[in-house]
Amino acid sequence: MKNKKHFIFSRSVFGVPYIVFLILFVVVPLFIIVIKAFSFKDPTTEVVTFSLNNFIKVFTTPTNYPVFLDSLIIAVLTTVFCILIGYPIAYLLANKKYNKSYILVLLFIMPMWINFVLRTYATRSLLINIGLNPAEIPYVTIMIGMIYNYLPFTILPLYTTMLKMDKSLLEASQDLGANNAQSFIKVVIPLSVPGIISAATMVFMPTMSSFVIVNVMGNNNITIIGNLIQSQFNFQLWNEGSALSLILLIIIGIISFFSGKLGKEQEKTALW
Amino acid sequence: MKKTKLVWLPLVIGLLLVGCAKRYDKTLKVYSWQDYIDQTILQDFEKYYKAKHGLSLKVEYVTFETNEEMGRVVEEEGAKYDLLCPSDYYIQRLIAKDLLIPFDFEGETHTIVENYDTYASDYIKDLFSSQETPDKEGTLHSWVEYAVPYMWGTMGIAYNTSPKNANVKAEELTDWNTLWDSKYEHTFTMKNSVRDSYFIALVNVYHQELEDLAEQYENEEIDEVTYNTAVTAILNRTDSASVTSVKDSLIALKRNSYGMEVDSGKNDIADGNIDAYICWSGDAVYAAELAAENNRTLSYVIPELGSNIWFDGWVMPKGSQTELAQEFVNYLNKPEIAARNMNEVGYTTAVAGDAVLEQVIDWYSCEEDGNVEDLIPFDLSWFFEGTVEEEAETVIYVDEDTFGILKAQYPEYTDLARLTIMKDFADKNSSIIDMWSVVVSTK
Repeated sequence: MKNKKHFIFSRSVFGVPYIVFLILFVVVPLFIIVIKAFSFKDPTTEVVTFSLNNFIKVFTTPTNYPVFLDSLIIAVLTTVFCILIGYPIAYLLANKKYNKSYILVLLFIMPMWINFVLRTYATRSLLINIGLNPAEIPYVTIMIGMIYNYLPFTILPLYTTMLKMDKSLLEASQDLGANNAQSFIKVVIPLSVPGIISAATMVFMPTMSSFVIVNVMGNNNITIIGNLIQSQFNFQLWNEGSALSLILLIIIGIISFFSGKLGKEQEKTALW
Repeated sequence: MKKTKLVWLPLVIGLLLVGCAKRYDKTLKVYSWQDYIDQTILQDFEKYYKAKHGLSLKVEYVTFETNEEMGRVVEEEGAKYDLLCPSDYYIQRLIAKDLLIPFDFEGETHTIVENYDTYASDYIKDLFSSQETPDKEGTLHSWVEYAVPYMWGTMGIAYNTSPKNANVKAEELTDWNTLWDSKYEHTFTMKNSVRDSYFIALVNVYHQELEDLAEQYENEEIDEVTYNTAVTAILNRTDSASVTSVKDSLIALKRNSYGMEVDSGKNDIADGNIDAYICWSGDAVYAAELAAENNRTLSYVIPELGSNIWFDGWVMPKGSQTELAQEFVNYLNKPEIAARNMNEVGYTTAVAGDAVLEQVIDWYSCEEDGNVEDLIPFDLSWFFEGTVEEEAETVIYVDEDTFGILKAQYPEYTDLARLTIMKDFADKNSSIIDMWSVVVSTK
């Protein structure tokens, strides 16, 4: 008994590096953001006080609303397009009939091996060369950049969900007289809902703050929340930037709460 | 057991630290921009120092990305560095916050940075010493008390000499206002930075006033100094009416532009995606090299009603090892060293002198065997006068294409009267940043 208590090298020891990392780089920064967001430094006396000034400023700046709207539109459209494009591909990839050698999987995962900033710059040059000018149609070029970047993140969770899908259910539906389309709609789609939800959250959340893609693909003609936060931090406006970050975090939190609820009703196969 | 182990730890660390410190007699910590110095010069200075004082020295070169980042480190972490290299407006801010130690230019026996006195261009020295900033108590200080200029340049427009869009005309780009013309829609980029866009919008807002001034200067009703002072005052206006007008003007400019950029513009103009590029002179030189690889020729112009001249300078924060720091700055002001730095970095050094002149001739002169027919003379005497040997030729003969780029390396004498230093926004900083956020967020 005594020995057991003194045995230090239990399995939980392996978790320590990660816990330390988590506390240092997730929990502490989060605390700093919350503190900064709710504090205000008087420019003349340099006294720091608790205040809601930063939030008031965010919501009383009229130009911020179009920015929020743009962020939402871009995030929603990216998510929808990514799923529309990614779903059929994931279905093909997961089906052994079409994908025997995994070369297709490789092709879709390969872009993820290269840093996204490099990929984005390359995409931009490519689009300009074929006549899609970010100065004239910034939304189109931004959407292409976003979809291109986030498509692998959509395919992956969909693919894993579909791989795990019980094929006998499909066979059963056909035995009971459903045609291909019917069994796809009534069996495949409902069974892949957890995958769709986790794909949607994995795309939606980061797009709201993907300022690099928006900058590069839109020549800074369009601004989303991520850009605002970045420029405020650039100007050393830590308090206002933190308030915006917190707002973004809350928006994402609410959305993932609801999608999590949706996902719970389904089988737990989601990545997220 | 555990306790004894913990006692060892600081001892070991302490020993390690002592070991590190022992290796060099002295360490000089320089905090500056990336790729802003020829790294071999640091080693040469270490050797030079060893030969002169018999002490081993290590120069540590640490980099920052923005003045604000550097300022935060200096303010919050205190005496960590011996030398900093902030930009003009930030030197002003550091003086105002009383964070710097003055240079020893009037030492009892000699000035420690005598090479600056001897070799820096008179134009630069005059301009720098005529800038004044109040400290915390309100006493005015000339910038030269606290800072030694390092690199400098101008802001202007680099353009493609054979533009893709036929509406873009070189002779029209001599006026900033052209960029607001709908003919120029999507043909140029602007800087995604408030300090580099603000004064351009001021030219747009106070165009008539600036035109009148330019006319008076041309008719010799006012002299150079008066003209420059007046332009400087206009391009530094930060009253709330000006800020509001600038906001609208910048939004219009943004809508007319190809986009805002901080570093993609070089490639865009080199690739021919845009025909004009608002840029710093150093980037114009660099973009011209890139463009030449794609068989495009770029030229550079400083628009006629006024533009910005910028400096980066060496300053010593409180707690600096002043003797050592000044010796290093003095070393950097040797023309041979300055020429090497200029060759590596590409920006224009504040130092003149024979070695720098030779470097410039080597880069730009198109003269062959003394034949100057069909070549344009470019007079650099205003910069080099008094620092080079008397018989040295300060006129460089160049062809038309080279002329367009040499203008980015050194402005012409006639440009100088309308080049102004942009001051710190000081107490207007936050209202101007708010204005800029609105510009950035507006489509």
